[in-house]
Amino acid sequence: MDLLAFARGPALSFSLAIFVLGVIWRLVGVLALSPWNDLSPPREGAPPNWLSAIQAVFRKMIPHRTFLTAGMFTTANGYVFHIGLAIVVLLFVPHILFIRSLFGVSWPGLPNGVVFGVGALTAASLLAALAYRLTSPVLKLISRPNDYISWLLTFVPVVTGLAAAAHVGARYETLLALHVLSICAFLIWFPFGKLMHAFLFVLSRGATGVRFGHRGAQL
Amino acid sequence: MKHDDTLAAELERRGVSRRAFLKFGSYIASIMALPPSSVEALAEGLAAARRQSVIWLSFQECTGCTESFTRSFAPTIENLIFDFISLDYHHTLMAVSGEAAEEARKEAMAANKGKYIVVVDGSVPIKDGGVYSAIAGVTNKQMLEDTLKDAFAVVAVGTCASFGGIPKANPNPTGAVAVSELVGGKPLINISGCPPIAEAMTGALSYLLSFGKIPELDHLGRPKAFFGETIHDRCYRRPFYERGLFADGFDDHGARQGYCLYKVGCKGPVTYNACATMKWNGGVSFPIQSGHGCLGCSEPNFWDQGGFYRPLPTPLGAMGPALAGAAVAGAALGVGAALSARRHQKTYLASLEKEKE
Amino acid sequence: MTSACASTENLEPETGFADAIIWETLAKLTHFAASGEASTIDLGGLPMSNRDRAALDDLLGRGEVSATLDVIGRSEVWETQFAGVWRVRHHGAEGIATDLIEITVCPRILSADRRDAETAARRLAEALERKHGIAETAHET
Repeated sequence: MDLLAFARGPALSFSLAIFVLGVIWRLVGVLALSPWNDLSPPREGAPPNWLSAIQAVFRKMIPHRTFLTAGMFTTANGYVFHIGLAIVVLLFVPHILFIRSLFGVSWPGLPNGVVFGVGALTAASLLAALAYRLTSPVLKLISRPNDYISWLLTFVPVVTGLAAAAHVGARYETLLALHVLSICAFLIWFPFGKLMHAFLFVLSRGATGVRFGHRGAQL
Repeated sequence: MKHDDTLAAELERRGVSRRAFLKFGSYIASIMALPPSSVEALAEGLAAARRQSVIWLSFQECTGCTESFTRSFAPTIENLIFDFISLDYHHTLMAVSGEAAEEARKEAMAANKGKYIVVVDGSVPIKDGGVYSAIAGVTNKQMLEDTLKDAFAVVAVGTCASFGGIPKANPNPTGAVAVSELVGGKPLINISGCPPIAEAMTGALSYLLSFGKIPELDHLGRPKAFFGETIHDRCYRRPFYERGLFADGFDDHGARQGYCLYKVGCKGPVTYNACATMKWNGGVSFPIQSGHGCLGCSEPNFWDQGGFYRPLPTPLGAMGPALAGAAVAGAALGVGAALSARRHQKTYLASLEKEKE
Repeated sequence: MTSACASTENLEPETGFADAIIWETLAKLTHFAASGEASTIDLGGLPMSNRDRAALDDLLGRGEVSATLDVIGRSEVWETQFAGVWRVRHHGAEGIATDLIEITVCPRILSADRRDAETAARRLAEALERKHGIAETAHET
């Protein structure tokens, strides 16, 4: 079996299975905890819990104005690579075909040139995020291997994908195999590292929203 | 006077001048992308060469490779190669059969010891002592080993000989293997394809004849001149791929517009062959031009890549059961973790109550 | 030809190859004029469409010399309207087998080989001998 067949076959099956197992494990593990019973009466005029939760999820998408200027780079750069990743992952035709093979749904994609440009921007933005993490004294202090591994496993698929599309460094099938294998590593790490924030941010923001809302505090 | 048996003398006796070699040389240089300056060297090499003895062994195969190689009979530049070789054994094409045929093979081997070229089409079954394919009571494996002993070089023609091909496809009941696994140290050229492009065969043989050595090969033993680039890289539909214009089926708008066939399973991006530039049937067309995606027939294990119509980015094999199993296992683990956390919480609260008391 | 094939013909794009090749020809022709060093451009490996080829033929045109060769199939050689720029086209079984632009005094394929000349001289001598032999026999009777 050649590298590409290994990547598309056993490696991808295994890592997707680990991904599904891990994500469901952690989500069910959190959702099936004892319901949060605050026995104190809610503050007068407090919104219902579900509304507080939803409001918190969206309101937190823009930092509080106190931190807006100080955190401008982190916020803006964060948006750049998150949106970039979304475009590359969801609107590149080969990716859409991959998703279709798993879920049976598909949608139109973007021309390769556009996706390539967005991918390059995303890679640059990810590098900027790393540079910031390595230079900011506070961020450096609180960064753990988990953060760096999560960054690396996001960055490598972007770079190998760009290399495969641009056809540089090795034969196309080798680059494609490396790209798929880097996705496999990403998928295996995802549920157990900080990448899981892609799912958990909703729960954590919601929980914060409920607690604050119950006490009548504004977010 | 000693009989001059060079190819130049042979053609001259038929009233053909050395221009033929020059013309053939420029044809070979062109198809093998050799520098134009090599034309004269090629022509001179061929003119000075002697007719090359070729022993063609057909094993687990369908004769499609022979068809591809011999389908044109007009005396033209492309098949001048047939004047340059002496096909001493080919059990489909030769007039004699049975004992006489096998005798011809042995005679050619003895007369051209160390100088003949063995062409093989078809894979070789090695399971159960190689009993699944035999010629004149001799297993393919045995015949290959015997014939290779005094050969100068081996040319594996077609994907079966090069990589095992269809006989080697899952579950490979006969234990078929590629010729490369049995050649020992003999120089080997793989001309893969199902069937291979005749020009690739002509080019490789001519190079061998002119320069007495094997042309530059890729990591799978194929001449780089013909297998150096992917179908996708040289495909005239490539611009549609880049612009995101695809056929979603074989009868939709995209198909009629001649858009890229990537979504309907074209394996062009990972297939190395010269179809897109040389084309087939004297340059008439090639599969993609005729509206069908590339099957990847010149690549190893092309038969077991999950299906011809399955797009390249899709995973191989069925994902459903594995993922469903993983989901169930994940849910069970999650419930277990939550229950354990609840129990801890309960014990902790109970201990707090106790402390209060 | 079926309509499906015809439609693919129509879709053949003009890739701009013709222009690129003309520039290359100009560079090589200038060099040839200055140094006398001949060179060849092989159009075979280029993914040129039929439209590209026609555009190239239009641009180069036809000059003073043209020849047809009958050597294991037909070949055409002609000088373009630019002196020193030759087109050499070998036809194969079903179409063009080799297509070259040669920048030279005269394409090599047109000139005879001296070793062929050697054989030819022998043949000519034989022919002459035969003719004289026949003539003498005729004279005697």
